[in-house]
Amino acid sequence: MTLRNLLVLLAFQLAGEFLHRVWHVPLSGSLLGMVLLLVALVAWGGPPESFQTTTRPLLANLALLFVPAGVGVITHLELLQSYWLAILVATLGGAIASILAGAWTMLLVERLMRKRLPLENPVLSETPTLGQTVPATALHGRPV
Amino acid sequence: MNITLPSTTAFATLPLVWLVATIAAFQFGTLLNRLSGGLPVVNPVLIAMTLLIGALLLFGVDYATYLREGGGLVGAVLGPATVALAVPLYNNAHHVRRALLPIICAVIVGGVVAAGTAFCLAWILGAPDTVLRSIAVKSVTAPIAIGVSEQIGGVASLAAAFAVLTGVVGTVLSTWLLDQAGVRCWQARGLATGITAHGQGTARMLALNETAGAFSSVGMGLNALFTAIWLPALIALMLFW
Repeated sequence: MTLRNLLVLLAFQLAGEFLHRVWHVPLSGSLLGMVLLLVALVAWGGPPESFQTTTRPLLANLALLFVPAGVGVITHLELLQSYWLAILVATLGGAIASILAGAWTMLLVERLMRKRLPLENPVLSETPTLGQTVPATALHGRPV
Repeated sequence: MNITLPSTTAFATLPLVWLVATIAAFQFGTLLNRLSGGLPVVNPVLIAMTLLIGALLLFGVDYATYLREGGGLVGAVLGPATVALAVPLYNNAHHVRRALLPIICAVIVGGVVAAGTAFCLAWILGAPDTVLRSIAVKSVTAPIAIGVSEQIGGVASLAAAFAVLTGVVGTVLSTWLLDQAGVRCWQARGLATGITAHGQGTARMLALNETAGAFSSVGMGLNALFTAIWLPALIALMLFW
């Protein structure tokens, strides 16, 4: 994790913040920074290995970085106490519905495309076909 | 000899004490997760959140003090880490390019379904307006959820809390749910998890499989992008009527 690579990440975030605050692009600075870095990586022809030695440990510990925002629940304990059932059901129901909707839409559109362009390679080339048994280790892998 | 022990409050407001506590609580959660054999329900973020909220209540420390004395430092790293997500995105860009149409359709449908289902369920169960406006953005990654909810009249910290809660729930459910639904391919698994459980889902997908991680960050990024555009527009349209 070199200082120069960290500076690159922060500079892209800063550029994103500039777009957000000054040009009022309705996306957060860090997300805009991600988009800008992606464009830069395409222009560069890929991230150098030394750059990935900085990004890898950051991404490996991404879950930790959400903890402080989560602790923010403490400021709304009263509201949570009054409406915990509505919030729980909405969160659970929304999560289940959107996981299934997202996954099925992708598979459905992919299958429709494959039907229309039968000679082309399947869009999801590495996809094991549905129903094919996948070893349990491949599905579950190792924990976070 | 008379030793006066410092009060617990003095200890709880030491500089950096909550930085240490946040990392330690997360490490403890990770340890429990490993001991459980990697059960998604033994979620390190959820464990850390519960422990820290309990500790803050016990010592009577408010959230602003928690952020000032170290918690905010951890949160500050989230920015550059979000920017760094461009690297796995780039590394898997060739997968994404080939499946561009399925991805865009899945992100739009998944995002609309996430916001719509949560909003309707909370509305049916009688949640007040502020909760409704904050819960609509729950599937968007926390920093972006804050911005969007402010635009549509929600409460920023509530939106962040719902986003994190959804991240936990989605991460806990996704592996099991997608197994039940018979979705085997890593691309669809990752994308659906990223659309729903944003950063936390992506963190888990990255640990499971690199392709799933890349598709998860694509799902998270595109969903944030699309929701930030269509949700304020929809609310404005509804108010116009």
